[in-house]
Amino acid sequence: MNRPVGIETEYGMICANSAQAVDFAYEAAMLVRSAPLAGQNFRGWDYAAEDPRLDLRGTRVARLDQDPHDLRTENTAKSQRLSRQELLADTVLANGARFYNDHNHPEYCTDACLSLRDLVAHDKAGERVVWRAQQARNAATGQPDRVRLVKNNTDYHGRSYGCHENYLVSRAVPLDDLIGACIPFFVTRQIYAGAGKAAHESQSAYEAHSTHETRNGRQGGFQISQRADFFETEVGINTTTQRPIFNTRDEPHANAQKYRRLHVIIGDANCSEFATALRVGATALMLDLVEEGAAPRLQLQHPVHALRTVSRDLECTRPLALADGTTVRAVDVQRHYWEAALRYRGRDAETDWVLDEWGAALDLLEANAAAKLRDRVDWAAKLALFAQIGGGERIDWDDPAALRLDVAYHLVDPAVSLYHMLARAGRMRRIVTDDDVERAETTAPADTRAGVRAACLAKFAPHVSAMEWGSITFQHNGASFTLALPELWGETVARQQAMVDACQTIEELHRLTHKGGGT
Amino acid sequence: MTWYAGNEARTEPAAGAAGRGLRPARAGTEAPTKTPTEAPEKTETDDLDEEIRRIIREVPDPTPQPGGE
Repeated sequence: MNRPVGIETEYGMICANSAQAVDFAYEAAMLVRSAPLAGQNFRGWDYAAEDPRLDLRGTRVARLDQDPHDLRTENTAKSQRLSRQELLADTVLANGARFYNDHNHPEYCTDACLSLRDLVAHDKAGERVVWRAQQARNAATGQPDRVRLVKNNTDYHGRSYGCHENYLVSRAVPLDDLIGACIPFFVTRQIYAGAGKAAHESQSAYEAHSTHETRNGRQGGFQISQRADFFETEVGINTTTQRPIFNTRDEPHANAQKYRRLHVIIGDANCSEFATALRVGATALMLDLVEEGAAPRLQLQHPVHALRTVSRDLECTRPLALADGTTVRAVDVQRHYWEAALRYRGRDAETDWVLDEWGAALDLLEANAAAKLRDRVDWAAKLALFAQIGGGERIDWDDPAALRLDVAYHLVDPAVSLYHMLARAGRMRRIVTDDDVERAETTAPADTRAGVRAACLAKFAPHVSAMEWGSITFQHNGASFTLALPELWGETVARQQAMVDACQTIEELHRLTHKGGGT
Repeated sequence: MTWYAGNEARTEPAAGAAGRGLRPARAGTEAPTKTPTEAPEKTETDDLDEEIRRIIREVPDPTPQPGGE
């Protein structure tokens, strides 16, 4: 890829007790804190540099809106006794990742990666970390099924949690160009990146005033995307309600003069390694086009409506209205971007792989042969499972077993995960080996500032007093000093990496940091 | 030569296994429009069917959770 990319995944928690009896904040915090972690880690996070209310459009909102219909449980006694630090359970791992309790869900954030293979390995490493946390937590409580973690995006009761991608983008790109190119692309990329869902949780569910249990509005049926039901607007800064197709949060976690962090909140969490790689790889190429002023100029007339239309269009044939009065299919929209991206053919093997597989997927979808994508695209794999277990008969989507099959696909426990069952049977294409994933648990992604962070942890962990994506603060002889990490890759990072690697003592690091810290 | 691990899945059939794990649909319900069409490898598919059914039996119904982001 031509840019660093990271993935943050909130995991769902299916708890043995009824929802009203569960203190989700406490459970998420304890689960994260239970994780057996390899290598040197750091407990804590420096929030001083974070401001999620800054908007790319040049404003700062007074507050972020919250979902008025979010689940509110009566049982918060345990979480209320925790300190803020205990509740957030912030942890920086030896591989540079962040693992913490975000909005009452365990969240694993990979550090930025430069290759799809690295990114997939680190995303999968996150699954292993949270699975072991589940095992440890359940063992500690003596309840083997106290909590089951799922890598999905819905509780099937009208509430969603996210899987966000973060792409470093040049700030020189006009924001309107970025938004204009992203919206049609994000609305339609679900045809190969969707995780599939055996339910319709339309936004009308939000009109139901059930605050505790299932909201009215869930209907049986299968759709391509887990998340499409939860997006209500085209552009905005909120993330938990009035979710926008294009999120305008302006937290670059890097040199703000040079970069934006494109915070993509519309994606599904993929179990398929292939789908993760294609989703991110195609998006990264789309951003290359935007930065070169070469992105297709398509404008959907009703993007939010189109998002849901595409999600319900398993044959990928329904027309989407464009602003100029003509219509296109989702596959046509993607084809425009793919054709424009062909200019990058030959750039490197990874780019060629993305172009080949992106084009092949579009060919199959256009030929109404999505079933042939069942070895690589999550929604097609899941739909094939339904077909298999249904013995070719029509599926009753209102059968509770349909939801159980759906959720079982996403379980992180390999023994009971239907995705893992398919992978073990050789029915899912893989991008990395098990060894790659194991290595990623303790090794930072190559050639990014993640390596600097990991090296600092490995060598100077007792002196680290604060960390965030863009800096590391150390304590030495009663004083503190900070190593700034404003760049994610390139020569500056290479110099900083060499500097930390060469330092044998904290005194040396202190001295060199004061000389400029490699920047 | 590919950039990835090269452990591609073998081509496999998946359709038409015997028996049903889910109730037959009532009239008017939506049906999957994409069903695998290749011929099944009977033994492997049967094994997977049994494993899928076991998992579906053991997995609890999903319960409400807080929204996130």
